[in-house]
Amino acid sequence: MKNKLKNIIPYAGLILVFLLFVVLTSGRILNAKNIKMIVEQSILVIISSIGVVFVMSLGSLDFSQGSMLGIGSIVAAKLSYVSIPLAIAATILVCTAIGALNGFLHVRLRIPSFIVTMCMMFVFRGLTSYLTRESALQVSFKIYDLDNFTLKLIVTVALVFVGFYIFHFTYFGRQAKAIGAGEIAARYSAVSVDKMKILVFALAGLTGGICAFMNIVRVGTATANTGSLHETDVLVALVLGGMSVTGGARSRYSSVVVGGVMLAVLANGLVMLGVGIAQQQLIKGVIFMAAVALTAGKSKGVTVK
Amino acid sequence: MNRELLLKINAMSKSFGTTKAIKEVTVELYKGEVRALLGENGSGKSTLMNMVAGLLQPDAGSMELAGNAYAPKNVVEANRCGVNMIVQEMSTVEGLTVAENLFLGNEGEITRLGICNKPLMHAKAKEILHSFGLSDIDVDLDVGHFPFEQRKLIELAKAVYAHPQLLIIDETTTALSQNGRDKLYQVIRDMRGDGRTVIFISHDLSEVLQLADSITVFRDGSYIDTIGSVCATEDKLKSLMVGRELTGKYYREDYDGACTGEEVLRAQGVHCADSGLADISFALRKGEIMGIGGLTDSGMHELGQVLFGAQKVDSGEVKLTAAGKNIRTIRDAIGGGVAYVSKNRDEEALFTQDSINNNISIVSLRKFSKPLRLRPRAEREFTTKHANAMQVKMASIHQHVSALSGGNKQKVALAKWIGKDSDIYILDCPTRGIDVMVKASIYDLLSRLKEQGKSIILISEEILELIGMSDRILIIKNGRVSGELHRSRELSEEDVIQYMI
Repeated sequence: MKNKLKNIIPYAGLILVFLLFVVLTSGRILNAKNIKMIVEQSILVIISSIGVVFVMSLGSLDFSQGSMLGIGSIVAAKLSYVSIPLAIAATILVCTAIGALNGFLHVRLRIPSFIVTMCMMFVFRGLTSYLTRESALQVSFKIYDLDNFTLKLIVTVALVFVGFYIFHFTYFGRQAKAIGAGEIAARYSAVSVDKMKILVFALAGLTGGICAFMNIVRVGTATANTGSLHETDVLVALVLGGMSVTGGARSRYSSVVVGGVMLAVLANGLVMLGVGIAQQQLIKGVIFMAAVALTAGKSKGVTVK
Repeated sequence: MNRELLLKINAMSKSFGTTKAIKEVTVELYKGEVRALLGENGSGKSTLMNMVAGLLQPDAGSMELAGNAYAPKNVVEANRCGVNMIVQEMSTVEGLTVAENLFLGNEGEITRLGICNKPLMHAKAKEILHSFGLSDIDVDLDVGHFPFEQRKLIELAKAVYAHPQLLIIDETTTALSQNGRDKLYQVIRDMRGDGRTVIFISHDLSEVLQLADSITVFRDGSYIDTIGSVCATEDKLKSLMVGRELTGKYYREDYDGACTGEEVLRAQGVHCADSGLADISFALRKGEIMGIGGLTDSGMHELGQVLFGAQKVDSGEVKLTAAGKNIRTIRDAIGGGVAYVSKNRDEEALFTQDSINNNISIVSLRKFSKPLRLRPRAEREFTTKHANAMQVKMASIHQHVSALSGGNKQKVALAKWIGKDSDIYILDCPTRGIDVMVKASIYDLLSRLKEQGKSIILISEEILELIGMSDRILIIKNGRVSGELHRSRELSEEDVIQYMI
């Protein structure tokens, strides 16, 4: 009973936030054009979340999504002049490699994942700034053929479903959650913990790469700030969506969509109300804290690996 | 005897969700009394004691301590009223030194003007441990350096130093060796001599009969009876706990015939510096129950890990005879049909924060699904079948293991490997901290597995269990095999102990 109630909270929250902004904006938020904008805004967070929800199910965190967006956008911009398929492949590949490196360092050096990925964030944010130090990189105009709302929506929905299937109906998903539920017990049950972790972080890199490409298709340039704070948006969205910070059995895949949409509604609504970026950050921070406090296990402290 | 009332527990109740853990329990305790609490896992003894010690608040009812109303909101309040408790789990804090742990929560004594007087703390800590016969412990070392048993004793020393009028000891003896137990017994007797009161919870009936003045029995959260230990017998206590007469066998009763099945596993010259094992060789046969005994730190628990591939060997090998394959990793072991239930059940054998279903299926996914296609319904059927076969008491297969009692947790851990249809079971202290009923069912299970031609390595600290269940007992001392005994009616505890020390 209590569990069932807990399961509903994120959905109730989403509806509540939505209704709140319908009232506050006197219905302007429901404008068809605006709804489309909300969807467009949520797409990037949702795609990154598909990978990161696996990372969180391990009981780990990934703070490098934003910097992947930055470095991925540069790769995409440079290669877009050669060939679009090549640009797509290379962007995804580079980010997947970064993800795998995250996992490898986490496993090999036995450093908590949030520290490893945070360091990687600085490394690649720095590299992005360096590569764009003279001017922002423009993409080839050919890429704008892909800037099609329906296409992006279809790709996103398809990825959400693939992710859902992997999360619930494969050994991969089950073993990731098992590691979150108890790393030692997982090892004693023949789960290759280290290999799984590297694969999961690589998966988060893969979705980060797809996200980077989707982003550059929309904005057209790669700058030093591309994707900045994207990583926190992803984590905030997942937690708002009801994902447990400690992973394991309490992991909820639905948080990918629920959280992504909720965050987009929140951002969009605040903009409509004329709330500035600075205040938005502040509000996000407070909400994030509240969400973690609500979802984390009450009796035991939260440990993130 | 001077029957002066110390603690009166008055119609106390406590529920967790829909489960009534304690139902209107009324108990009286006297000064200078040693009282044992008995009951199966989940009968409510620990819950009741947690309320007395301020760890939990009752839903209804009240307590009186030495004539005054007593309702501790937390442990500190209870301590101030002179009530201390040694809990079942580890409660010393890793990362702090032994001395810091001893004064944790009681820093006032060593603090002047808000500054800790380290030399004073050091000296006092040494004194406390010295008076407790633990002079060899370096009080400046991180408490994490010490094994479970030593840490338990440090905790005990701390509790005794607080000079409580009521000391509660929750199932501590299972973690202690004979030497440690003797210390604990001495503490209990000293307290009684002082006119103070001790409550202890234990599953070891002979220990209870030997130590307690009186014994209170609980069943399903209700108070059943309190009897003087003079007129109690093990059988009487068992039937009070279970609610009916226990009949028939407990251990195996067959003594005829040696085990002549083919060899299934062989350890050859195993050396492992990390776990202190040296030159261990033996062969395990099909349908054999091989007991492994020894002192806690003899290396026998580590040997279990080595056989399962969880610890690397420096030289020598563990070989699955039929397949001709060596076990080097856990995956090798599980792939070769080896099962392992760790002594450290909650960490190594179970995902406590996960469902019974997921716990049982994790090693058997291949039986009903493919890597890219899990089949939840088939999985549920599989796990339900095995949980039921083990008679796990559960609300549903999706219930989290953390909500189960110790005995039921162990059943889940066993169901996981039986579901996998393992051939070789390495069981490290499978009946540790488990009540008589579940214990009997585990012994019964071992006999059935043996009949089915499975092989079992039973690592145990209970000598009677080793004698009662094993076809052969291997005794480990200081990391080496010090003796081997064959099943016989004449085998006594002394026969085993002489090889242990």
